Amino acid sequence: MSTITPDVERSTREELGSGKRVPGEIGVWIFVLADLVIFGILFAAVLVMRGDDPAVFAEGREHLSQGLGLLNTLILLTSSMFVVLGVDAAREGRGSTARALFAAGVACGLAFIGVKAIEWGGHLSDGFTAHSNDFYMMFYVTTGVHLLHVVIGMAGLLGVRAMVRNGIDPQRRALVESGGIYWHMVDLLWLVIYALFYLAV
Amino acid sequence: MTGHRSALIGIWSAPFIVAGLTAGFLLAGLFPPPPADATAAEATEKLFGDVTALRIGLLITSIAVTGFTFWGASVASQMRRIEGVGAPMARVMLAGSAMLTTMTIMYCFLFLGWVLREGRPEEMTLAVYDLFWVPFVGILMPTMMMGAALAITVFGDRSPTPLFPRWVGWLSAWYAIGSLAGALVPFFTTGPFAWNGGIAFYTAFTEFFVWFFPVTIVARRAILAQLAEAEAA
Amino acid sequence: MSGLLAKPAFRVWLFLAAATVLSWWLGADHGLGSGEAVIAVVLVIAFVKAWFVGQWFMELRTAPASLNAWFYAWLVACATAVVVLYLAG
Repeated sequence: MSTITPDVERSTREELGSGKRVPGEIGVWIFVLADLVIFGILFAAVLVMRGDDPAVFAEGREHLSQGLGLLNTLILLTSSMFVVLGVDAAREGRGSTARALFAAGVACGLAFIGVKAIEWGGHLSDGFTAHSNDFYMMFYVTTGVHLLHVVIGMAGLLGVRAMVRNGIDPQRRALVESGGIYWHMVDLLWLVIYALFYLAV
Repeated sequence: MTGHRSALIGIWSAPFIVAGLTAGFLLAGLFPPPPADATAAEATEKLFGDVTALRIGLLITSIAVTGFTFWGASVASQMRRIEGVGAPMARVMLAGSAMLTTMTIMYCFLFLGWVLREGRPEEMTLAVYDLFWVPFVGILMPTMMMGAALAITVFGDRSPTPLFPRWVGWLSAWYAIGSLAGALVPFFTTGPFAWNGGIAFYTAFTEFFVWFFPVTIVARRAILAQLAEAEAA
Repeated sequence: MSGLLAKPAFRVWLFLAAATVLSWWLGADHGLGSGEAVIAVVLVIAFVKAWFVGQWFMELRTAPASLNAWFYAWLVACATAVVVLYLAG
């Protein structure tokens, strides 16, 4: 017997006549918006530090691999598409398709981590650590914190994938959508991080 | 299960904690936090510049943070109702709040011990200064544990009328992860991740209160409802 | 193939991928001090992409106005802060 808590009930029931409903559940949006604010502060910090020494940041940017940055951005965008399709499939009761799509999303996440490891490895072997200068400090910390979110998101996707077997009840649907929403937030943040570090500074 | 009126003490600790920390931090010169790249002379000035204010401020801080343990017990009393007999996460909440109290008091007394006598070598004062601030800002584990315990409890609440709204679980999960903002303190002496940095200090402390206040309100509601039920019965 | 193209998720992905490549082309090779306005545009494009992710991937499109309002608030505040701080720096 499923237990549908009032929050989920509220999220899943459509507001009368408007056809609108909260995707996932309200709690995941609190999580997401709070995280977005924190990253916003981080982005501001990056630009403030850049303002203190634009030349160091410009030079640092030139050391970044444009190819790998672009690749990683496309990888995460693709993973998000898989996750959207996966959530759709889960809602329509196509359990095995959904599971395959979530697995594809996770695989993209692994690829992202792999590319990141190559990138960082390259910088480290060139002798650039977080203590080298302010650019590298902000680069490593920002992309590092983002990477932590990628890992959490992947765990979420795996959890959501495990939930999707033979159809899902409203409570599970809310969680499946929530897992997707968190992953899209991770993608969204990377879109800004990529523009900030690889294209802007 | 009847509740305890004494659980409200923990709830009322919240304004007491805020008032105490504000007064204590300002008096002791803990706010705004002094620079992580201070010289020995600057650190000495920070500690020995106005020793009386420092002493009083640190004592007020030490007393104010005892409120956290009362608070933890109050929140845990409601978590116990969700978890039932044994209530492991409620115990973690309590333990974490006691750790928070203990850690803060210990480091306040480190300073109090150091400023007992004049004439300390400046280099040693700098070391003590670092030994206070790195732990004071960097030890985020107790509150992380509290956030994680509450998140686990709320998400695990399978009853049709959950005690805490689910968003409290999400907020707590966010806080538990977000509290890592202070984790980089051991690595940096300047910039946003140093102990006086915009991220490690200001953002991390703000995050704590963004979590602390709603949880206080929700816990209070639950305690009052429990007491009202018992009275009606 | 037409089945895939019909899906909004795929069309949005295509658009976002194209916008990414466009941004890369605009921004990848600029030197210090040249094309500040162009880079400001690149930053704005990033937030426009974020908006698409929110609306189409996170399904804010069919979400209540109040939730959208919070998302917009973050988007506008963050985009403004980023562009202003970039140009001021």
